[in-house]
Amino acid sequence: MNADNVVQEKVSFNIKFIERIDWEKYGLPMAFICMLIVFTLINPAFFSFRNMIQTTRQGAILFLVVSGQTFALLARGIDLSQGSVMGLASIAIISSIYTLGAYAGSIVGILMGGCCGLINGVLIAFLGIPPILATLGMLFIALGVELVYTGGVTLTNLSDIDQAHLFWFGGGMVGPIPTPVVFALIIGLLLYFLLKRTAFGREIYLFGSNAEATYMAGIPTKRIIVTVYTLSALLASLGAFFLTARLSMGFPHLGEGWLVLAIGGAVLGGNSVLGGKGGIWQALLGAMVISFLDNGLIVSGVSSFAREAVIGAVIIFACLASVIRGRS
Amino acid sequence: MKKRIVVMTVLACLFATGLIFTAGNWAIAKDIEIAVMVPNGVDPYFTAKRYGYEKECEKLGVKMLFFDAGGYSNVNKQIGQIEDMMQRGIDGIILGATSAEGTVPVVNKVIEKGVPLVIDNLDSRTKLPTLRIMKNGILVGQLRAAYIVEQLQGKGKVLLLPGPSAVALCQEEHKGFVDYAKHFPGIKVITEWTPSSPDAGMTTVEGILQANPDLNAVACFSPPLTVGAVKAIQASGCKKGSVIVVGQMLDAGMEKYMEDGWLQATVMCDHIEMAREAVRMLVKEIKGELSPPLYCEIDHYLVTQNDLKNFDRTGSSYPKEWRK
Repeated sequence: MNADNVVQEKVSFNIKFIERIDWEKYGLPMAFICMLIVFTLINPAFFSFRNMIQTTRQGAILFLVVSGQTFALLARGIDLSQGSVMGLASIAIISSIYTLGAYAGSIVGILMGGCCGLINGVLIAFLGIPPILATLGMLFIALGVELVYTGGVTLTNLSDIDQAHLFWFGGGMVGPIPTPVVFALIIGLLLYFLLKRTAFGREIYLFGSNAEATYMAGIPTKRIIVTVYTLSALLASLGAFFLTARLSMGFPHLGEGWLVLAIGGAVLGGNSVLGGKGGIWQALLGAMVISFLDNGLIVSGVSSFAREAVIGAVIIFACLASVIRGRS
Repeated sequence: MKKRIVVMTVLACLFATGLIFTAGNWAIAKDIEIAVMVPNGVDPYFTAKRYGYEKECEKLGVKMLFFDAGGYSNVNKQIGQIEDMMQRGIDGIILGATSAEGTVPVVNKVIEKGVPLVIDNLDSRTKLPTLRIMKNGILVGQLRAAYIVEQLQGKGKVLLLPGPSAVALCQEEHKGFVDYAKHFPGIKVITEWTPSSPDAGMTTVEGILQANPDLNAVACFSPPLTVGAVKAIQASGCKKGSVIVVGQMLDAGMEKYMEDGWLQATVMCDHIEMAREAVRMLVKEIKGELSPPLYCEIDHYLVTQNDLKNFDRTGSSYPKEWRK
């Protein structure tokens, strides 16, 4: 056996190994780990304990919003109102806290955000309005309502007690773990169970794959639609809650920019824009990649202009990959 | 018969004369209607100015239509709003531009059409003559820089958050800061252009603090960015006062941060009085009492923890019960 044969055998072994890897399943996690390594090499401060904690805190909030978008995408739809719902929820939460206290006020505010999703679902399911149009309309309605109510005023002036109670949810810790991360994990597990282990979850996948077949099978499709969009808005409101809690203020445009990240994160993680494929694990991956990518670029000293371009390029690439996968 | 015709003719002439005079009176008595256009209404700065616009309009008996572009990136939306108002035949426009360059064509159209215009604070870089009431962005940046340089004794690392890059005022404040700081070689300035929102400020400052644990100061364009910066500094475990924060205005809970020692200074101006003056200038121009070009600049001053309780707030604060 000569040296050329040995090299040829090694190369063909490597190629077979690469071909055997399920890139669809492991590609993004491997890319995520590579990204962490690269950013750590550029600046070791990236992988510091404090930076990891802060980034996962932010990532947990994004994960909730991305999970909501995931439900809409699984049902072959889209929710364009998430950003506005976040702003509305932020205002509703602080306004409610003024009269009801931190805990009850927070619940009322979150539910008010969820109501927007319920309205979306009813419009889509019962009136037949396409999801993109219904949620686009809700985007403007939610924005208008919050601005009319507040006049654009940022809501602050919480009492010290309410502020302390509220802040724990957004900025506090449960042991070494940020509070939003704990809640996000619990909610994520519940959503995972809902999608993968219940009949309703399977119905969502079936509806996203083939709405007509789902209807012909006698599955109540209207219920699926209403639930999916209500969940999407509720999860966006939850994300707004943790962000509002951390800032201790109700900011009318809180969700500005989050819609693009939500859709981008959902698709980047592997949820198909064509419906019926994906899940909560994909939502988690997408949210973590975007959060750590943004943080890594900041810590590496990349200018804010270039960061926008990089994140945009990554999202476009993810959407393209999703469409190509869907067609094949 | 002839007599009747003469009487009827005289009566008709009298009636017509009366009609002409009263119609003239109707024209004079018609309400003046103005449009106020701001780039980002949810910014506490513009919320406060809205109070100023409203109160002065009430005082002068002028009807005000308020438009919010909804963000500095919504240049097209603001252009649409301006064009709509021109179509409506509005008597005058007060404009805070979303973009210094992007709004030039539509502003030129407004001026060429003879619609009275006052540019308020956020400039549109039209070369045509117009009325302007402006902050001195360069001075604002210099005031922040001067305070920080003094506190750091000419040596340290500073993060500058000048806000959205397309806004003329942000560019001027950035220039003022950087030009001042460059006279002190020991001061290193890191600039991060971000949207004017608290979560953008928070995320950016968190990341910069990780990369630069020796950061000594943060200078912020707006109240939302200041709040975000303070939250990030608190979350990073830094002690109060270990990172100097200098903001602008005292809205969105900033006063409490200053009382507690997280915010050391802020650049103030009487922005509500500025809004009132913009309305006065526009009404005068509508009535023909003032002609462009005219450039007015308002004063700026630095408020620190030490003088927080003692400065005159009449031109910069609105009653708590007002919330529109």
